[in-house]
Amino acid sequence: MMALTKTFPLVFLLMMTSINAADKLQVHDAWAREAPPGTSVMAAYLTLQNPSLKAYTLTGLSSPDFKRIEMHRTEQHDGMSKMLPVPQVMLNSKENVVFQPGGMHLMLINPKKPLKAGDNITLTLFFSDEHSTKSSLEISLPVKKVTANTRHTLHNGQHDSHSHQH
Amino acid sequence: MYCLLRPTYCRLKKDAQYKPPEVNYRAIIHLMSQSVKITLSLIITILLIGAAAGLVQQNDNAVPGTEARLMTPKPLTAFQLTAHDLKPLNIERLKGKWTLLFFGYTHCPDVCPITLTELAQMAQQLPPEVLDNTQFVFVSVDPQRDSPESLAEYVGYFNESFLGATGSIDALTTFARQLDSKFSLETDPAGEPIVNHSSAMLLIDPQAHYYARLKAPHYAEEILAQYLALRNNYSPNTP
Ligand SMILES: [Cu+2]
Repeated sequence: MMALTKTFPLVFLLMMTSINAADKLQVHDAWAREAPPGTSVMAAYLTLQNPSLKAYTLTGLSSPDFKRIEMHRTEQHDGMSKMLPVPQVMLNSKENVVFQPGGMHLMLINPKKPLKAGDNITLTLFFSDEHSTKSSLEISLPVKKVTANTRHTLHNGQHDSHSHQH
Repeated sequence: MYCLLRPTYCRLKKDAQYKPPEVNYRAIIHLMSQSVKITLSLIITILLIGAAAGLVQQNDNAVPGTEARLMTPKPLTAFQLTAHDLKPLNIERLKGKWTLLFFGYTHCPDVCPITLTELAQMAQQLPPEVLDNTQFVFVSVDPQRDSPESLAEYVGYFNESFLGATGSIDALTTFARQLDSKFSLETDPAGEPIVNHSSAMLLIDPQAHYYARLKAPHYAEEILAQYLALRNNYSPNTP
């Protein structure tokens, strides 16, 4: 009996840790646009969710399926369309960051083998928290062939590209 | 910088914070004398009639859906690009058909495939007789990486009937300038090319006149509605 009361707090502590783990960064709706033939780049999109109390920074990505991965955003400015590199992305506590068509995307450069709709890609996302503690998250996402865009997404993307002025 | 990285957040925040200045119109009207009220309502009535007349007049030369038309369509002058079938894309090839054209490059994984997907969807919805005399052209401004042969595969992925074309930087510059469009080629620190290009879609009439400019973002339904309205209200002689 004595032993039980002694171990109880330990069990409780372990439970807390696992709750914290479930509270960590999450990735939703991840997918990559199938590359048309003759191109060596693809765009991938996802939603990053930070349910934790800490702020994180997405500092980079890697994948065994690609030579290199960059974060980019598409911008419409003065009637011109531009793709700008985004060195890192802030992810505040209790907030989401959306990579979506016409807005931010992950630029998957030089696939090591041809990837078709239905294939899966492995990605590792690297984070740094407020105390510069490094962590990473491995995800798997499908390659999809798009025959119709979602207007809603595109519309949001357009607004995104304007809000940077403030 | 923060907003650059967190645009969605900044947008939401901006919307939530914005409050229009409050004006107590009721109190202002109450304070005005009777004669001022009568004069004001007269002025408002005159303004409304004027606005209505103006609208009617505008409708005479701007049918809804045709706003993208240029004030004065511009005849194109000689240019030479190479189409993906390895034949020239020149002014002759634009005559006798309507052409919807835009600039891009194949190493563009986001906005170019999005636009081509919308255009392919739009093409599917065109009545057959309209589709018959419409051509869709994707002009790559990245000739170093995009050969006509690679463009054939690229545009065919979206629609078998789409035409890809490119040319020398000089030829592309001359052509783009005629369509009030521009592009620039830079190199990023890693040595990767960065390509910027105009995002508008251009409509060229069957006489090879630059006829209308459709602004981005491009949606299938809107390109379709505008294109049909522009065609239906087209007369070759009066622009
Ligand atoms: Cu990119």
